[in-house]
Amino acid sequence: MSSEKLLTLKTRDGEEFVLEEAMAFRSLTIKNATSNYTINNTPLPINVEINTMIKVIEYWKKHSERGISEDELMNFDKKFFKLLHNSELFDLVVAVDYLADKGLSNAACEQVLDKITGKTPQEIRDIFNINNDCTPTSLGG
Amino acid sequence: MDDVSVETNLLDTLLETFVGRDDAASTTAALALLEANSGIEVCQRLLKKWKHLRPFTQKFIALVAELKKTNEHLTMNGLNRAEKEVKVLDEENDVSSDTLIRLYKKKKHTPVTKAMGVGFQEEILLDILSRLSVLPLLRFKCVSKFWKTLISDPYFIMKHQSHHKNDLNSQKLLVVEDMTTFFSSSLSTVQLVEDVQNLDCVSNIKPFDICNIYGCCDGLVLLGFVNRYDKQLLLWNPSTRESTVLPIQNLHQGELLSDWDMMQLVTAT
Repeated sequence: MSSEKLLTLKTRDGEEFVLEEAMAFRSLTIKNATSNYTINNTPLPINVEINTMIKVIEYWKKHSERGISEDELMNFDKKFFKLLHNSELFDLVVAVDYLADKGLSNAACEQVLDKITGKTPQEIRDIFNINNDCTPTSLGG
Repeated sequence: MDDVSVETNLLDTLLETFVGRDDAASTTAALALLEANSGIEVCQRLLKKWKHLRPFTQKFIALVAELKKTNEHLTMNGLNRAEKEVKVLDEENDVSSDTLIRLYKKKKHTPVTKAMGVGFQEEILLDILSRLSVLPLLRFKCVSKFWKTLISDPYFIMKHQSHHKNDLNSQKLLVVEDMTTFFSSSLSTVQLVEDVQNLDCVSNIKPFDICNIYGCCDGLVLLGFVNRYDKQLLLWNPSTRESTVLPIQNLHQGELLSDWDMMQLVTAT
């Protein structure tokens, strides 16, 4: 059911944009924030940066399309995540956790999981940019 | 202005300083708490009056929600740790609202240091790691001190278990052969035959005549080793190869107890 109702959102870095309410409500955080008070066209502030939000909206748009098959969605998801650099993926995971969209959150976490499966500890440190603060004694037990 | 008003204004400003930034999230948290507890009269009334509540009151409810969440986390980590934390906070400050704010601040603003790597909050990393199987997790304990602490944490272990409980790929069949050799096989029908592994049991057990598998729970297996003069109980985790000998009191020498008696005895220890 398409809804004409539009919502204005404002990102952390000050960018404003307009979204269909139905699509924005994929985020439980946005839905709950709007459900109890009228906004009167004041933009709703969200704790996400514009670049990451663009990616989220791209995902939401595709997954809201009518008549799209499971296979097409799977192919889209594969391409979508393949194009993300590690840092973009991590920003997406944090943003989607804040927005509370379970579907996208699961998909993004699975992507991170794929990146770390089968890797050595040093490779993990490189992916996440972690300092190795383990001493041989601290590893025991 | 009287003392009460001054205090209210000060608290108002304090809450705005620490809670004010994240309006959407704190509203969500506050409403979630009230809705989850709508059976309680005060929550019902606050829900009805939500639109008319002062922002200060709404933020305070959000703080209460955060405190509840933090407390539940602490309970899962064991009472001792919880008692220590509360004691430290009490010693640092007597005023209860100040304590709430400190707990909230401690939970909300996890410092992002080089040891943690990217700015993932703990919960997100927990979620991702809990989807991994045991073997890679054990390896990842040496990524950093923070990862080691995270993976060893009882809350994480519980989360990992509940994630894998119903996953056929994680479930294994344990078979003991010839009293000394253990085999584990995946319960997933695709892997049933291919995935058989020979497991070494721990070597710090005295010589024995009979080995019994008394039961298993949450990935741990209770084994009993009996010889003519002695019996030993071992709690064994086949996934991590860790084990611990359980102390048994008041068992008669050489007496072979039934499986049920064994389970009762261990529960009581």
